[in-house]
Amino acid sequence: MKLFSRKKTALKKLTSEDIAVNIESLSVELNKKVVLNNISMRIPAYSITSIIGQSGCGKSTLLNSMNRMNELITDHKTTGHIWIGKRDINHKRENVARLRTKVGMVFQQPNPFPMTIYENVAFGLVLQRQFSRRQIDDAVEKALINAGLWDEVRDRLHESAMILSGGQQQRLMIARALALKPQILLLDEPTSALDPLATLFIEELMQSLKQHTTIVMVTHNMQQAARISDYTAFIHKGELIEYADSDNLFTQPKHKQTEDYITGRYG
Amino acid sequence: MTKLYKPDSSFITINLTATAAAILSLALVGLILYVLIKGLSYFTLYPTVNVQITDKYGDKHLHYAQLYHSDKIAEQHVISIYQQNIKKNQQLSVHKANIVYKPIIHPIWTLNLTNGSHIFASQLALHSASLSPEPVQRYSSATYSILRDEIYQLKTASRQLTSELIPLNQELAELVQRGFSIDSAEYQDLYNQIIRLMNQQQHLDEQRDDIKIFYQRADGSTAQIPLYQVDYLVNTNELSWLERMSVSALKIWYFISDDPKQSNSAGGVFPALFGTLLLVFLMTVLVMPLGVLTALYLHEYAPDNYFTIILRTIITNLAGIPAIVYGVFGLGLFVYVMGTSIDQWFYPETLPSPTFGSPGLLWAALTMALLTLPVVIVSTEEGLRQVPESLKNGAMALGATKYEMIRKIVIPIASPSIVTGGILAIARAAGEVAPLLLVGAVMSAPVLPIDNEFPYIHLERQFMHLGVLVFDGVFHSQTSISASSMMFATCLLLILIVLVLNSMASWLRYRLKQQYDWQ
Repeated sequence: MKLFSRKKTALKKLTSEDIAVNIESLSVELNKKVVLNNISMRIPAYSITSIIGQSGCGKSTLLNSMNRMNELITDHKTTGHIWIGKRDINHKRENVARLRTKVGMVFQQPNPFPMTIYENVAFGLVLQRQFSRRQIDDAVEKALINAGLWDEVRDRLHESAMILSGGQQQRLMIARALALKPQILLLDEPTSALDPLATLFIEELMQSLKQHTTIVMVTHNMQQAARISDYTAFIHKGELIEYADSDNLFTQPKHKQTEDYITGRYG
Repeated sequence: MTKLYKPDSSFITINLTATAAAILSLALVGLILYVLIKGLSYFTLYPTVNVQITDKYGDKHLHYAQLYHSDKIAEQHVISIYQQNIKKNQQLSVHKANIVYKPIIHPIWTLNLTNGSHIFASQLALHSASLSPEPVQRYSSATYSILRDEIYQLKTASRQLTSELIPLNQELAELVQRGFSIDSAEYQDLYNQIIRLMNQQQHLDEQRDDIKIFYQRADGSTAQIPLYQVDYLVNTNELSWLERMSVSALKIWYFISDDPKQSNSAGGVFPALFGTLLLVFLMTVLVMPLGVLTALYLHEYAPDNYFTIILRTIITNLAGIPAIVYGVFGLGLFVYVMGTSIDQWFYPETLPSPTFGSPGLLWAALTMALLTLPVVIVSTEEGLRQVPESLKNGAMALGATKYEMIRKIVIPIASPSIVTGGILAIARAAGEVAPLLLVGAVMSAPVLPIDNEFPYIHLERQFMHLGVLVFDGVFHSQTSISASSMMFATCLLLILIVLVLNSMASWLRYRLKQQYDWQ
């Protein structure tokens, strides 16, 4: 049974139109410690890209760089460029709040706001203050349908989001990000807190989302990366070791470190 | 032989801790009960008696009196009699050898006067020129209520005349200012009009004074007072259980709605109650925004350096400064510096008599706000610390600016703690007396801080406060049971106010907690 369809075009053959995010020599220091060192990678549009690596190797920092969430840490320093479309998002005049509506993010632990389900999904739209009530209603419904949650919550939109189960909450988080119609969706270990069935739900969801969204995902689960992602990057101690389409990376790794990691020889 | 096991000493610990807890709860219950019993005695009805007292010269006096302790075999009998010459009640403590209880032949009435005294009398009779067939009739409740109506109408008419007189007098003053001489026709017209109205009013007042109540004292002599000076009259010995309760309820109502009388030893506490509530309200309005904003800055924006740490330590320690120091500071800064400057800039025409340059409600509220600021800041920061980082990041990731994130996520989740800070601040401000004595609270204020005169809210006025009233009551309570019970009733009211405010705030906190539960 073929659950997931995958893109297999080699990275080098991709033209610049196919690229959603172009990272050029990105270095990040957090709390006076170098976390990412000179990373350059091109993330293809309308595909799922996984970032794998050990704990503390800088995966999440790389993900956070793409919507400048690193800036929430008081002591941070970023050099290099990240091009999304024609814009360098590391430019100091970039509107960060607007950027984050274009680049959505879902965290490891579901973090629903203590509000109703409806208010949670509408949160980002209400903040923009340019949509009518009817537009917001439509966007909320659409986002919940896209996140595969609509049938489960349609009758209790105005109940607290806290009553949902963990898997439902995580899909609510995805819906919350999708409501803003982001070009790029960043997922930071979205299934690590979920049971296998809920994980399968989310994975199927990601497959359908990639029709119209670029997905970048950090995961600890190599089977998951191999299963659903089109491209995979392996990061080790702040360096990009290998970046290729998943089939190649998991079957014919070019570097020794990659091979050791995916075969489980690292501690 | 060595001990192989350690003996379990939990028996001792349990007993120690339980004893401490028991002592504490006893003290608490004791406090509440003591204040409750003492305070409620202000509203109880004591029996009236007919007594013969032998004074130290061996003279015998007959009195109608109120008996405080019904225990007739006690060594000392405490009674209250009405002294005609000083027009006040006097509390006597008489040895049982010097007091003889006589039979009550005519029912003894208690006339509660508007000035706070009680006359004990029998054989009541009412007098009014309007009564027919004869102007003097024996007391009956029907006649009494007819005369009450008459007095009410006369008073209303008199008040009507007063309100007509005020603009006329102003007009007269304006005429003089515009240079009209006393001989001019306009002046004379107006003057005559005023004189006519004043005569009318005087006539009404005479009519009112002419409605009298006659009564007989214990020695058989008769006396009279105008009926309008009597608040209500009651025969305490012949009341049913239900009637006693309703009279007590009436007394409670008078206590809450009436002015203090006889230099705060009788009457009600309305101005003090009003002043306390207004002060607490103003204080809350001032302290909450300031405290919450400071806490937000300290927690969300302040850089993590030594200055912030020192600032935070200072704020925490400010809560420990004695309240009287805040009073002195308020007097020095707010009243003398700020108040005097305001007077010089905005009220130069009334100088040298001060407007804001003297202790007043605004300065008291500001001082109290300063006093309770650390409580609010510490409590709010505690709440801000509880807001999970993940929710903040979640909001930021959805394109919220820091301000939007604080307004939509941080403040709602921290709101129960903010309300807790408000509760603590209110509880502290409602009970504090020492600083208030310096910056605006007085034993007796002639007017309320809010009235129907422009600009309606007079923040520069001095005001009365329940705590200050209790403080004042301590000096009367030594001499008279009624004054002491009034002080305790005031204490009871103070406890009740704090309790009501606290439970309102607790309910609000509960609701907020239900609404913004993030766990």
